[in-house]
Amino acid sequence: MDEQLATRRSSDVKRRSFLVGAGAVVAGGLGAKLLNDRDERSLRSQVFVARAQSYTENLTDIIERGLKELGLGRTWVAGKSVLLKPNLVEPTREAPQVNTHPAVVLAAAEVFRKWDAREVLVAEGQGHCRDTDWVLDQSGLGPALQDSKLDFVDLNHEDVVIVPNSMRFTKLRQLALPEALRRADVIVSMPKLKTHHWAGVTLSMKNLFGVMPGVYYGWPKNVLHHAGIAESILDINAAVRPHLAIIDGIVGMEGDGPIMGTPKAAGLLIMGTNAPAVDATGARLMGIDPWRISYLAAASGRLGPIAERHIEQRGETLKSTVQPFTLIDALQAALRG
Amino acid sequence: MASVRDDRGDAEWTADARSILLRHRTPSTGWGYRTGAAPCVEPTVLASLALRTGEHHASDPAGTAVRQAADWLTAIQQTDGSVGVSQRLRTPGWGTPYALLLWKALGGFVAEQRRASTWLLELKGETTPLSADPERVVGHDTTLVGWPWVAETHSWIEPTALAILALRREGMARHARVVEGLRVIRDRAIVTGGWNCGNKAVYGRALRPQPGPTGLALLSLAADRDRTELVDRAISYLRSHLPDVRAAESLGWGLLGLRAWGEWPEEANRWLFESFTQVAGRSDAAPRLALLLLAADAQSLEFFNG
Repeated sequence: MDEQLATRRSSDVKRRSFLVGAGAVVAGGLGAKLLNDRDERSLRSQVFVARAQSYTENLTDIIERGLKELGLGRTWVAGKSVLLKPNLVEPTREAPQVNTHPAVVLAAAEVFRKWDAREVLVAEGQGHCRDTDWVLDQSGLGPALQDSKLDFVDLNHEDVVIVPNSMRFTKLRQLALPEALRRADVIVSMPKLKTHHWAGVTLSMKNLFGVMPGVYYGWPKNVLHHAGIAESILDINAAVRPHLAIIDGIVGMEGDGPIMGTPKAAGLLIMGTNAPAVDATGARLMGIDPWRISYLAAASGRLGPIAERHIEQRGETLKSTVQPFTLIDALQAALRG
Repeated sequence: MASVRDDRGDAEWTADARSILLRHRTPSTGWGYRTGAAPCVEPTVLASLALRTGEHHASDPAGTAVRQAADWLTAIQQTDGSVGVSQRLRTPGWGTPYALLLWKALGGFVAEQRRASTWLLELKGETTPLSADPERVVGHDTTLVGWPWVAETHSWIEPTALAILALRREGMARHARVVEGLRVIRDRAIVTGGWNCGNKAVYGRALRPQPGPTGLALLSLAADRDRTELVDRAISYLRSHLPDVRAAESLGWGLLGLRAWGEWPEEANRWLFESFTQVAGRSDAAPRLALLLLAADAQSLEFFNG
């Protein structure tokens, strides 16, 4: 899920204005914390980048090869419950760059099934449209799941569990999470490679907005927007701790993302076990400095590494695959410098 | 599909849908979003109203179920008058207008309705001055007060429309909050026709409408009978898009919105039946079947617009 934030309280306005106007990443309350804490020296992660020019390629092979490069295999998932969380935002057939492509979801599911996962579920709590069936239908994911006999979990309407908000970047004392997350042994965030007109980029960390239940946070998860987008991303990721991220960058979105941008045929799949590292790599591949994305900078040292020297890139090299995504004017200076 | 439809008339699938609805019920309380899940206010109200459609009698199982559902809502009503998501999730209170609609349909809940409507009138969406957005990045009027999903957040189309419907049923059609709520609905209409969850444009670009919010918004505007261009554009949007919609929630609200304006596509009954066949066997069928039943019965408009 993603958001189309309708209102911005004065603090929200200041936050975005600062991001845009100062050409820096410091967002709201994140500022002071960032100044004191960028220590990720002890953190290392690997990210695998693969070329995939179209959705008709053998994506199962590519994902399997990538996961093996990352040291993951059958023993990692055998007997476990795997929850795949794609990025479904809006019901639209005309703009396939909006939602994670079904072929990528099915390919990942096939790998985990082949590796004897006990079950593979696909779950989403989209923010822009309450009708899950309509979103599934228009994204093409619904029919694909039916054909592949994959169960879908509607995270917006699941029973919820209340957990303490340990990170406390927002002022929210507790977080409501869907019961389904607790049942999953492995959580895989599967976003689209997209720009975001307020957050800068929306990748595997931002994608987790979509696990937050609409019955509790409303649509489009407006409580979290009021609490601060960047801050909420950090709190949610600290609570959920996804085990793997696979970014669909075969056709991404540039310009006015996350919903009104244009398609960008980047021809990439990006994967790794550490969400900030994967997202930082995704940002670099889009020609965006991850240190200028407020929530990525704040995740550094807390949730993972984002410095290039702390991320071992496997597969394709950054130099050979980077391709700048167009940004809206308001973000151009802030994110590219 | 048409040949199948020929063999099963409206009466047959709606009777089946009612039976399935009753099977999905949690005894003595109501309905969850899926079988086995905790009963929640929204599916409980939708299912109860749906069971009030067509021929029914107070003594039949459906009548008992509906009455127990309404009583369950009174049991979980908070002391401040609000009705939460479920017994366990006491907040947010966006279920309150739903509860009002059911209590009003049944009668006999005057005190509960008074407390709930008082709470609802106090719930206001947060606003921001237009000066906070000098570049007009957000396309709508953020100073207008409607209803939010969750307290202390901004107003959105669906909770605003539901609040308008519920309060108007309580005799508050001319209340200032209802009048301003209608302004919110009109202001958020997308220029090409219809509504989405509540943002009509960002960075100068019109966003995409959706059938569900469009139907609900049309329903909320219908009592005024003021058929403006805005209404016509929304009706055109639904007429052109609903033929491809079999998702029950979108189809149900979309058709209810059309019905409220005296519009009923020739093929609508077939669409409802086709949607029914897709959802009937699912564990999450209850709220979907409920909306299909409500859309199928012209009398159900009384539940929303009196």
